[in-house]
Amino acid sequence: MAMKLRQRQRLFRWVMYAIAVVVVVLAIVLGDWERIRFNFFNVEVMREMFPEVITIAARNTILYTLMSFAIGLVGALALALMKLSSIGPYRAFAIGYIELFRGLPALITLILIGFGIPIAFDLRIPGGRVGAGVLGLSIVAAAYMAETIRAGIEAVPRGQSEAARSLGMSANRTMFTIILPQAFRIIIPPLTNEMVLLIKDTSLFFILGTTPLTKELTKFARDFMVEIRNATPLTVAALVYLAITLPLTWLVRKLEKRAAMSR
Amino acid sequence: MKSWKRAVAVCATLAIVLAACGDGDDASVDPSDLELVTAGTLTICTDVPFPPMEFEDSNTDLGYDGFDIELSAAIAEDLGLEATVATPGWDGITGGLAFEDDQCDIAAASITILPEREENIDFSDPYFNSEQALLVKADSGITTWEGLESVGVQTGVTGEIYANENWEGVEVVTFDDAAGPYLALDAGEVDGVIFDLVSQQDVADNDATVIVIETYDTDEEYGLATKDSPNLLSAINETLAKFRDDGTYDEIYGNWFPEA
Repeated sequence: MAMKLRQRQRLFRWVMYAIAVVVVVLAIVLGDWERIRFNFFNVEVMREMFPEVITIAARNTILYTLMSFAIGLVGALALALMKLSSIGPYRAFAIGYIELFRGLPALITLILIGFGIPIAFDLRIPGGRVGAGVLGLSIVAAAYMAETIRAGIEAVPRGQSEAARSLGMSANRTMFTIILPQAFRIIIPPLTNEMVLLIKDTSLFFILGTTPLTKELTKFARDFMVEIRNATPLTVAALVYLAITLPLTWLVRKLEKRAAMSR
Repeated sequence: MKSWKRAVAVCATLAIVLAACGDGDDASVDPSDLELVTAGTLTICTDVPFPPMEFEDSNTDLGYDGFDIELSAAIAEDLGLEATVATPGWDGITGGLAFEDDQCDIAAASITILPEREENIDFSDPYFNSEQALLVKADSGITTWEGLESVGVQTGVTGEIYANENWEGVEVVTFDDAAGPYLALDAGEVDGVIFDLVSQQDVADNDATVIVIETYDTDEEYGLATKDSPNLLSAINETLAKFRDDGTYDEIYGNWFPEA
């Protein structure tokens, strides 16, 4: 080929632009916009969804996420410390737990917690169905976040702990006052990602049964859609999800940038 | 996935409604008039598990068995068609979207004929009478619905509608499939389950820890369902009438409800 490298790169870029333009034009030409508007952006349907989509559905989604995240974070910290522990059984437990709950679909974990435990042990989980859902999701989140926290702890330079120990601090004090604060600064972005995943996983709560007051966004939208035979509720739910997740991911980018600059 | 499909189906609604303008000519059946999803095959949609009306059974040719399945397979045979069974989900069937999505020719899923459903799908003549029944744990001491704090139902079924309309103060917990309410009953998350009597009786017959304590006559009748296929609908009604006259219906009924 007689083309120079730069020419080839430019040609490639223009081909990419052309493909993008063709796709957009095709979508505009082929889409039946009146039907799309009626089925997915039906203003009347949207109006009917308010205020419940916010006061019940979005509120529940956020509430379930925050509770699962908080409990999951505590569990994850314990698991991470166990995995780094010098005591063999602790390490074995942490590894077993993490592998098990990272390997299972969250839906199955929810069913096992919500139905399995009460049936097997004749024991009711506090908080009923919502409690079971939060517990199930916390268990899954703990498994994922434990690995993140462990990586964060290991990313703190060794010299930090060596310096603390040589000043006479105990191993525990070193971990909680010197290592963990630095580790958390490193892992805030990946933990925020974990929260974004959790937000979406709350849509699995439906499997444990719902009442009008415990529906989260996805279940709320699906039931609304079935009732009125129009897909607009899905669009609205999608937009509400984005309204929750986009600020979070924006925050992650910001934090990552700051972390990169402070190095 | 299900929701996505539904969304697409909703999108396709208008076009199909406009396209289907059959004239309801009910002369004897010519298979080419039936506008089937697959030519020569009657695609029967159902929703499992709902024994003894419909449930999975890999030992049968269709992969499903039950009263509804046997009846609709017999109808297919009578119309000179092959039969195949699909399970696009309860909401898709009763909302009509599974039909618009070309997943079903008829639905045989113990669907109670209700005015609000008739807006979405077309019912055959009734083929089965059903009541609602309340099932509780045998050792719960509950004897009427008033002893309930919460009750499990499947989303969108008659039991949900009945409980919401008649049982003030009882928390109605909805599940996406028919198995959920029973799991929740075992787990102690709900005190009872309301469902169609035929199914509840079957559950109670097979599980000594639960009993049916009340039945509610709601004048319910099941219908087979189609959508925008008047030729198929009238063919089904003719066959149903014939089955009632020649004893085929009683024979199938006896296969599944021997004590009746």
